[in-house]
Amino acid sequence: MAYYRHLATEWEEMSNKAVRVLLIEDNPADTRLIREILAEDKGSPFKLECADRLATGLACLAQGKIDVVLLDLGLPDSQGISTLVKVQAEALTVPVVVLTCLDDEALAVEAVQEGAQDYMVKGHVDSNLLARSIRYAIERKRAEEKARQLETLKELDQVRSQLLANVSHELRTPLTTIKGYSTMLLDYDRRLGHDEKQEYLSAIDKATDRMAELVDHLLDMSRLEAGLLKLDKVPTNITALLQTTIAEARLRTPGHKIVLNLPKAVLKLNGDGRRIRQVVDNLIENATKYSKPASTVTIEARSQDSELVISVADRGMGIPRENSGKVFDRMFNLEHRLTQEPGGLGLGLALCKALVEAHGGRIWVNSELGKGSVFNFALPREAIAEGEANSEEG
Amino acid sequence: MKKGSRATILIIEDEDDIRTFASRVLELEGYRVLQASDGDEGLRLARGNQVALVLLDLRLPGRDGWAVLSQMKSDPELSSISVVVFTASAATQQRSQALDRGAADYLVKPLSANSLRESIARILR
Repeated sequence: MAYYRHLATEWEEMSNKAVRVLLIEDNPADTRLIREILAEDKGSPFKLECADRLATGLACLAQGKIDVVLLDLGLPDSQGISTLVKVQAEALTVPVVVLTCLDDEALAVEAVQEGAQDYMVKGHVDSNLLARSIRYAIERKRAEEKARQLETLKELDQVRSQLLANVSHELRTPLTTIKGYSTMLLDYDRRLGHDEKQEYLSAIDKATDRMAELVDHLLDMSRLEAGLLKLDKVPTNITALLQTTIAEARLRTPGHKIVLNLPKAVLKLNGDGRRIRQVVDNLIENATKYSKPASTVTIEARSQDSELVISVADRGMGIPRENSGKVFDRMFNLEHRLTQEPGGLGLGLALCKALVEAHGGRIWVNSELGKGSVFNFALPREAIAEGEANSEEG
Repeated sequence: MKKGSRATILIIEDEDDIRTFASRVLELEGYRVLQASDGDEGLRLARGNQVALVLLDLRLPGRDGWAVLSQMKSDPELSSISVVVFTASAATQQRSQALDRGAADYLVKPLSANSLRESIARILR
């Protein structure tokens, strides 16, 4: 929706205001000429800004108040096609018309292939031609942008339908447990032993937990998307947080050997303990899910420069090299979830990444196929007063 | 117990709870039940065990339910076994696809003990 609003506002702005032109040109004679030509134009008014160096031009672009750039490719501080590339890097959505000398037409054509909207040969410029080229450049760029935004919307739509498919599947699995066991308990009450009934009731209980967790993940993800997820950052004792987390993880997955390596000094930082714990829980859950029972999962924490690094290492199947950069990407996980055992929404790592980044941290994975994976995340250690940290997580 | 209830049913399902549910209900109904948690194990058990019916999940690790279904229907030794698809996907397109490919019924999760019992009894009657 935000895209549509954005487009509509741009349209309004464009049709009401003067066209803001940035001329980046080092030859004063050419600058004067362009200024005169634009002043002559009888159509909608142009507002011209001039820069005689690329650096000055880029600084002007950075303020974001330019509708179109007239660009000489040969400037004191930049020559050739790289001049255009630098302008595009600063302002990808601003159209560019390249100004060229007569003997440079090949370069101008190359510039158009590189994404410039048009080119004009100096000395062959008149008022009509220039005004038309500027307006066409703006319209063409707008059409390109719209196509690009539509593409983004389509992608977003794909993410949504894939997510919906996964959600419905993931909710049906615990629902099947609940429906199945409860109807069985009702129908065969007299024929089931006490222990067996307890077993089914406990499975129903676990299934409802799983559903609640799925709903929480979904809500977190949509809050993050809408920018509504607020961190509650307080001085937090990470040593104690990890000890509690690991103690509970051991109870949940008694099959695995879960090892915790901590430095002697107590680790503290300013952060949202509940969210940090969520990240650690998720990484441990993945580690146990993707490795054989009885294998070892090692959690380590250490201070490193201005960061606190926490890593979770498993001896599982590992991640193919070509995918190790993509595992935190939401769409990748959603798509692969369909063909990949075991269960999950495919949101876990994307959520971890978002939570770590909301803390100003980073997350990455080192993995070797067949040998295992190490998921790491680093959080900045902002200065906190000694002895101020909570003994428990937020 | 009804006559014919001693038929053997093979359940191919990767979720432990769902496999336990289905097998326990069918045992209580007097069937002989075999269990497999993936497609390859399922195909192995389908041979030489006088299996009358396979309850088949579609989303399985490795060889998925679709592959198991087509393998069974193209194998002369297995093609007479009734296959009941048991899946979390309610899409009508998938349903007709499964029936076209020879499934005897298409059951959507979640499912009550009664619905499971009735579908199986109807097919094995």
